[in-house]
Amino acid sequence: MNASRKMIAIPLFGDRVSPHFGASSRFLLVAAEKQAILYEKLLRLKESDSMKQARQLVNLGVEEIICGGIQARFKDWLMRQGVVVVDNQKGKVWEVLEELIGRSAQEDQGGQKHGETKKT
Amino acid sequence: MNKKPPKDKSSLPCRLLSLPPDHCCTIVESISEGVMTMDLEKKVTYLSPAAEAMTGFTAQEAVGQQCFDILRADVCAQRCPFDDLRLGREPQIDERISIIHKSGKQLPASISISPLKDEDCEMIGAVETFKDLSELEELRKQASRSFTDEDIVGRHPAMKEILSFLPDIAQSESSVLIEGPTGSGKELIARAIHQLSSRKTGPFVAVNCAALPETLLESELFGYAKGAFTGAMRNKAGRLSMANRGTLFLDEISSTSMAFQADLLRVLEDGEFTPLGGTRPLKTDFRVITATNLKLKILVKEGRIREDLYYRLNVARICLPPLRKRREDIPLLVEHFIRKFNALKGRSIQGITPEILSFLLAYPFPGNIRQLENIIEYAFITCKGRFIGMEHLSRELLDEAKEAGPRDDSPEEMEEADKIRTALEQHSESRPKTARALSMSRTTLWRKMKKYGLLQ
Repeated sequence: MNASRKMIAIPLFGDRVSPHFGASSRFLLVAAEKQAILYEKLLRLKESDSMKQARQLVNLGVEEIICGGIQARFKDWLMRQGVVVVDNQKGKVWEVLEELIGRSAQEDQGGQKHGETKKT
Repeated sequence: MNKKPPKDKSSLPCRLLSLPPDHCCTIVESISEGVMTMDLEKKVTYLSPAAEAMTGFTAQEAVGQQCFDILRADVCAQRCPFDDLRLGREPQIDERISIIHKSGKQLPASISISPLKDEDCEMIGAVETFKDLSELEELRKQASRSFTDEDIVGRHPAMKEILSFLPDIAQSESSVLIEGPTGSGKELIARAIHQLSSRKTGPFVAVNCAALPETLLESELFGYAKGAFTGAMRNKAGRLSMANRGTLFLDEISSTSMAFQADLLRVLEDGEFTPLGGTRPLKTDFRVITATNLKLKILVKEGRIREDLYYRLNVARICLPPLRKRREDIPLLVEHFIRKFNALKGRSIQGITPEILSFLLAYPFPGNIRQLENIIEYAFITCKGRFIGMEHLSRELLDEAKEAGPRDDSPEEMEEADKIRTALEQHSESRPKTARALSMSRTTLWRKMKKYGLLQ
């Protein structure tokens, strides 16, 4: 598997990032590589409990979670499982995603700016 | 259904309007409930200081943002109070919610919402007031003893590690062995595991094996049939039956006899047991969590614990460090106990003085967290002000600390003192056994104990 490819999950609140992790069972799952989004899928988790959701995401192979508010204990647990948690995000999900992916790609390339983010 | 009488429009709003604007502002800003107003687009137009404290966002950060991105309550995604209001539903009053503070801390709260209207009675937004229910929640937990991992306080790496894998341990059905000195919070961990497990709706049955003589322990655990012994007038269900579909917590397992251990092992292996004097085996389904203040593995070597039972109990092991080894947690624990006793005793103590904090940070806490809790509880009796100071500590504690003398030990000496303390605990304070285990003479042990203030 490509090392630079990562699976990202974002809890949804309509078309926005959910402000409260665990309050929404809908997640946007994306596979991203550098600035490109290779794959996207809407996911509905059966679990409504925050811990169970976190566990299910880990079992699905999610490597990064972008969210609004997340309880510190769930964040700690996820990080312990090797999941990167980017919390305190707010706004439309694609805008947040594009900004974060763009930013991390720039960091990977030592600050050099790349082309537009592609959606598939 | 009875219709509510129309509101007297000349009542509260007009009374407020008759006040100068800065008075209204002072009133709103001084109330302890959080106040947030929003426009029709759900954008925040005002956030009171109490709301700033509850959400972690400043008014400057919040104004212009969507209300749900600031309040971050579970209710926002499920049943938005503002949407209800606009749809003409009954406004939500004191609805229980859970807020995620900017720092990630979860806060239980209640929320009420009212419409904001202009002079033509057109709705122009809403005002939400929310109340911090942390104290109430603390009381509920103390009453029901339903503690979760949220109630385990600790920033020490060892505690953070325990907390991080606690949910995984809880989810597995495995037996758990909790090792840690007296007062280090073993039962709290056991209760948290139960609450995090799929058995949380079942009972949590705790038995202190050291508190009961062997024969009584057997009858307590296994129950008995009518006529099993003199005084057994009727059948009595044991704790094993009571723990069915739940968790059985056996504290001080190291104090049990070999015969009891054999009986316990049989139950754990077969899920069946026969009450004393009974003829028919009963089935039970429980998860066992055991705790000990001694290292069970050493007791196995000494022949005091059956090896097969040890392996049966020690599927997942949690080792709790003594408080003296996690001093960075002392301020957090102090804060936690002050919050707890404020809720339980209806007080509003704000904290402790720097002087007492330095004292506590240097104190060895032989009784661990339980002792710290007792110190704070005692101070609640003597302290009538807002801050707990040295004068509120018990004479006994101060004398004990003075006797031990000011400690200015080197890291090596602190290490040695810890080693002796642990060995003493391990050997039930027996000095000959401790001296043997540490390969030193009894006189040397006594001298070192005196040096480190370990003589009781």
